[in-house]
Amino acid sequence: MRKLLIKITFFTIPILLTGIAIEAMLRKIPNDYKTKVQQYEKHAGDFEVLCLGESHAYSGFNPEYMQIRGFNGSHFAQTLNYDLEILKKYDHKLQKLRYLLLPISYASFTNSLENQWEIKNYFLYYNIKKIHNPKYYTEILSLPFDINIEKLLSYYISHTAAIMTDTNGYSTHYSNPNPDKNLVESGKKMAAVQTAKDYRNWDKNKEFLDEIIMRSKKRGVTVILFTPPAHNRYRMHLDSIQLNKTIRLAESFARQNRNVFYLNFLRDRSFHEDDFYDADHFSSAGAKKLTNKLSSFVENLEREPEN
Amino acid sequence: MHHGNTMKKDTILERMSEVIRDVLDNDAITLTRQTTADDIEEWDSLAHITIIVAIEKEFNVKFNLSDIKPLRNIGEFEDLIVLKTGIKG
Amino acid sequence: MTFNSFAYFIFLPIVFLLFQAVADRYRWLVLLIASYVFYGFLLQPSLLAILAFVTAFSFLAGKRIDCAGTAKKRKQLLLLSVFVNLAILVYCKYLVFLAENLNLLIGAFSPGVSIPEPEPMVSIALSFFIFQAVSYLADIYFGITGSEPHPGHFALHMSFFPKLLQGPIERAQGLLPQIRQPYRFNYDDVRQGLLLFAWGLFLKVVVADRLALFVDPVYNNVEAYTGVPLIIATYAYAFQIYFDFAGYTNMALGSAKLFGFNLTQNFRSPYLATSCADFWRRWHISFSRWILDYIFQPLQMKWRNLGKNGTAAALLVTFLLSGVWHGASWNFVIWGLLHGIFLATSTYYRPYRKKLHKKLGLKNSRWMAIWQVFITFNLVSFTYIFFRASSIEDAGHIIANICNVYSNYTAIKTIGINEFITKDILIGNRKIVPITLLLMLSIIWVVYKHRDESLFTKPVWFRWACYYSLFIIIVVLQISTKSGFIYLQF
Repeated sequence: MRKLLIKITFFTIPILLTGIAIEAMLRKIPNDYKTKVQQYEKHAGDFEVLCLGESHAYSGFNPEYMQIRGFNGSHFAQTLNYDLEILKKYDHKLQKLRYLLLPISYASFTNSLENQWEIKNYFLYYNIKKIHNPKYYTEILSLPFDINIEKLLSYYISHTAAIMTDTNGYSTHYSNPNPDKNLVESGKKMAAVQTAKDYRNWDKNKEFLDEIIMRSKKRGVTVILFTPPAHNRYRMHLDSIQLNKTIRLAESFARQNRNVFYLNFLRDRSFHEDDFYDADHFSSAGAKKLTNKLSSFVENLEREPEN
Repeated sequence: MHHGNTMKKDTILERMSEVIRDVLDNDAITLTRQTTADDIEEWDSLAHITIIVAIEKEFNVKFNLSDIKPLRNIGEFEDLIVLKTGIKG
Repeated sequence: MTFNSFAYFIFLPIVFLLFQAVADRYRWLVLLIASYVFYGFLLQPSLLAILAFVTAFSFLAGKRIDCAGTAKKRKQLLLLSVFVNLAILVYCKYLVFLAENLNLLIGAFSPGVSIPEPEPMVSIALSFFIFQAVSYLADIYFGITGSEPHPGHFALHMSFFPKLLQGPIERAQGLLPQIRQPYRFNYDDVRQGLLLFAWGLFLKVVVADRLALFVDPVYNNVEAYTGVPLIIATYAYAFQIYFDFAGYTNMALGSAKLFGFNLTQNFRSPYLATSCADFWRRWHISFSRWILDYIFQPLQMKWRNLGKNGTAAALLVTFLLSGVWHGASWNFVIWGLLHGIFLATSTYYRPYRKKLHKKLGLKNSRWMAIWQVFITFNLVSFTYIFFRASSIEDAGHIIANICNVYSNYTAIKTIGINEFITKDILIGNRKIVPITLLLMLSIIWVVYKHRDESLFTKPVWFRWACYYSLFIIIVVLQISTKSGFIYLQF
């Protein structure tokens, strides 16, 4: 028995050491999450408007076009749960915050990141420890092996890292023209992926948004919920029940809370084909347009006296 | 000629062998009490049931599955026949 | 939890250590608790309850049968207890299927009328352990084994986690004596067990899941394909299901071996079978022995005076039921029926074929054997069309189009060949230089050749090179889309 334990230990030690080394190397690679965390650490005190949310905000909100100092804190697939956690984390730092922008899209209330690999990013880089699946405590176990090797090779050999965010948090990826732009295909695909099979996450997400709004109320922050404009090719495949439920809920939040506003750009006619990178994301032109609209709404609020 | 009550066990074995050789169409087969179905190449599941039916005919007995199932070799089969026919060895 | 999950990689060593640490008379208890914890990971408390009930019920029934005075009483008790067990299985697994089909039938006569259709129930492992319980009761009835006096041992016999989810279906006289035996640590058992486990893991996550990449695009969207892609996908599936299930079985046998248990071999090079009958002596052996002993033989016995017809009918019924066991859908029924037909017809022509071969001197011909293997493999692969297709319509489409020589080129150009020969398929997402691939294949070949005891006679460096290589191959080449085991659904 002792012989067995010794041999097993000898066998696993090199494996563990290699694993730890790979893990360390993976964590050192710069990424969007690290970049945004650095921005929070350095400049959170200056942010007057913060936009969280998922890829609609990531591709659609460019703080450059805001009149006041803004930051885009969204990430791919970020859910209301993690919007809340990020706010909780930087609550004390966001002293000048007056406006919080949150996209309410088709899947905002039905999505959940539970048991998806993206949560490792929140655990490792945002230090949000509320995650239960130990697999996601590490880089090496969260993603398939070949993807990890690819990451290592491209950073340490080719010296390129997949940084897609600028200093304001806005995504640089979508400012380039899309070589595979196919609104028909992508619209259908994305709508299908985001259509929920059930509403099991609905109540939880509602609670998260509730808490976000409560905290904002306490801090005197105005919450602006907005449904981003959608290209017809995407919109036509949406399940109307899920869509309407989502919009109704957003509207009710705005009705019941004095510090909450809801803007529905879903059928906004001013967005054309050039404003979209694909059926569900914005090009830089589209981001400029959307941000301008949000900016003018904020300005109007600034001008009106407090009711 | 054999007479019912004076048949000896060996004769039963001989009669069994005859039946089995006939069913499997192989005169070269020799059986001992230790022989099992695995020892004989032609003894598959079809042959198995055919042999059982033939033995039933030969000795004028009727078997149940619970008689047949536990049998592990020719010797046990022979004992079963003795039991069923009441022929003393 | 399944064998190829992190949870199991943590669970197994913990159970092993506990098992070693505890006094011998409590070891069965450790394994029993571990087995229920293992089953509990599926988060279906009803399953645990059913397992416990079936165990307790069969334990008591077995005792009763053993003690029963008259043969008639014994038979009655047997029939009753088997009925209860099978009723549970039917209720949990087939109720939806029965209700659906009943509704179809009713609907044909009186449209608008229907009985409410029940919610489908998770029934993982049920088919396996209920069959094992039935085997226990029948063996007591036939006098092959006595009833087990120790309830804890019996409970372990029923629930032992290496074999719980997908078999092998163990016989009382095979497993119970091993449970009773005092345990002595055996270094070679552990080594062998780990190697078996690793080999099974390799077969599953590297080979079977990789073959699925060929099979799934076609079988999940059959309308889009005709001709050659359908053939390739079907053959690929024949191998996928083998490696998947053999992989699982190796992991099961390996896990059991760690604790000194030898479970039954389930496979013996099934695709080298020279006939369908031979195939079933090599494929899912614990299951085919079960249907042979408890369905075929009783039926054959009952119909013995019908000669060949009796045997043929018994085969048809047996394999029809075998199809039903595999799943509550007509696809599986047809699959089983096809095997039944193949086997039934062979009872008629086999004696003549044997004579013919003898006459022509073909009996020991190498070419004959190769031809028979080829035919058998194709027959079996044909039946897999029904096994894998998502519906009868799909199966029909495949059969109708599989020989479509003309259309296939279009299909290959537009969809087919991309899926099959894409750079991704062979080696995951990375292009690996052919030399490395060759190296890996040779390592696999070496491990395969030595995966029984002979590896341990080789020098240390050789063994450890094999261990590390196997580990690396599993980690690097595994297919990342986590898929379940195929036989888990049965």
